[in-house]
Amino acid sequence: MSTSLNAAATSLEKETERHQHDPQALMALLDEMRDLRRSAESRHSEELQQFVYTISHDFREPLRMISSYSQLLNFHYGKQLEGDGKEFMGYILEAAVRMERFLSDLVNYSQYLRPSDATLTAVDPEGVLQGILLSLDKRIQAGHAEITYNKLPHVQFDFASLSQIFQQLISNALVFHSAEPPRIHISTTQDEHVTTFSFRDNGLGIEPRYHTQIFDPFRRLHGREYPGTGLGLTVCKRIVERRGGKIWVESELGRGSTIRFTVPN
Amino acid sequence: MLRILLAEDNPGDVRLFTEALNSRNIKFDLSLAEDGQKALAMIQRVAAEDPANSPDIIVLDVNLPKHNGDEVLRQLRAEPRLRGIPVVMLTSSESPADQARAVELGADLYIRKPSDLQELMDIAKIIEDVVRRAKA
Repeated sequence: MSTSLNAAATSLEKETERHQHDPQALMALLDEMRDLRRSAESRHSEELQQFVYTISHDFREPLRMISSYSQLLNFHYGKQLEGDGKEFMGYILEAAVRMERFLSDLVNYSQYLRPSDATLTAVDPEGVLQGILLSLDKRIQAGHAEITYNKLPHVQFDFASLSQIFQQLISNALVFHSAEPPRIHISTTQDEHVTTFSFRDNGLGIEPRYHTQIFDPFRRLHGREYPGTGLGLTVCKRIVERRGGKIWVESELGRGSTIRFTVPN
Repeated sequence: MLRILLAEDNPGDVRLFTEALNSRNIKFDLSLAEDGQKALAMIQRVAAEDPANSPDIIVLDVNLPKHNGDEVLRQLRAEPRLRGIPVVMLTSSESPADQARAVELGADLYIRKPSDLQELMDIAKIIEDVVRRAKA
């Protein structure tokens, strides 16, 4: 990739000298550079996605053996295992589950590494939300959570990607709740350029010094007491930015959080 | 007695499969092929010499050495004597594209290899259902 870009840069330098007084030729050269860079980026991210997918896939095979056989061991010999044996078995099983979740999240994340090939359509966020509320229903009931929303206008997006964002943000609010039952409110504002979504919750809140870090891959603010692999917000950021928007959080510890993201109109 | 032909190269997966059948107390007679070529040879030999003992079901791993599962399936479906035998594809892939292709090639069913005990036991039930439907 860098050789062809370097070659193009050298060529551009030479041509610039030659065509100093010919703006049209210069513009054509600039377009050529942009195309080269775009196709190099695209190739690069496809290779990266393929790489991540292949690694995750190859890890999951032996992991499947570990999970299945430790569960079989537990099933057939669990009763004979006393104290220490049971405890050791528990650690193995738990670690296998965590690794599987991690790999699954990694594969999910990797699909967003390449430029989007989904066509943009007018997506109804309320339709997306209904679907997510249905799929999260058990957890919503279990947490006595209350989810409300204002009228949400249609946006230019693809249904699957917007679903992924909604799913992650609501799921986070359900997981990182405070002593009170989770209350989540979804609203939008619009100007001529963008529609801004806001997901406000009454959960644990996030200290300002972590406000950018939480979007980085594998950066978590909690240990095992809260489930998660540290990729959820990273995926959201990736989807939002790929669409040309921005995502950020407004929050203080103990005062809940509001996650906002923009979608160009 | 359920006659099963299993084409699978990973011994760990072979054992998981037999454990699945044992979990439902299914009596079975398992013929094992470690690659696609052997699988085809076994099936063709039985069809030619001993059709009464043809397998009740063929279970194919999608990823096999020498002729992958797709290729075996294709040849199976091309052979008139073997068309009546139900075929189940086993995969570790989650790709819907792989699933669609297997159905297109004539597989009766496409199931993911088990990652936990519940999935293991479900597989045995699925195998039974497929055989029952084929005999009906």
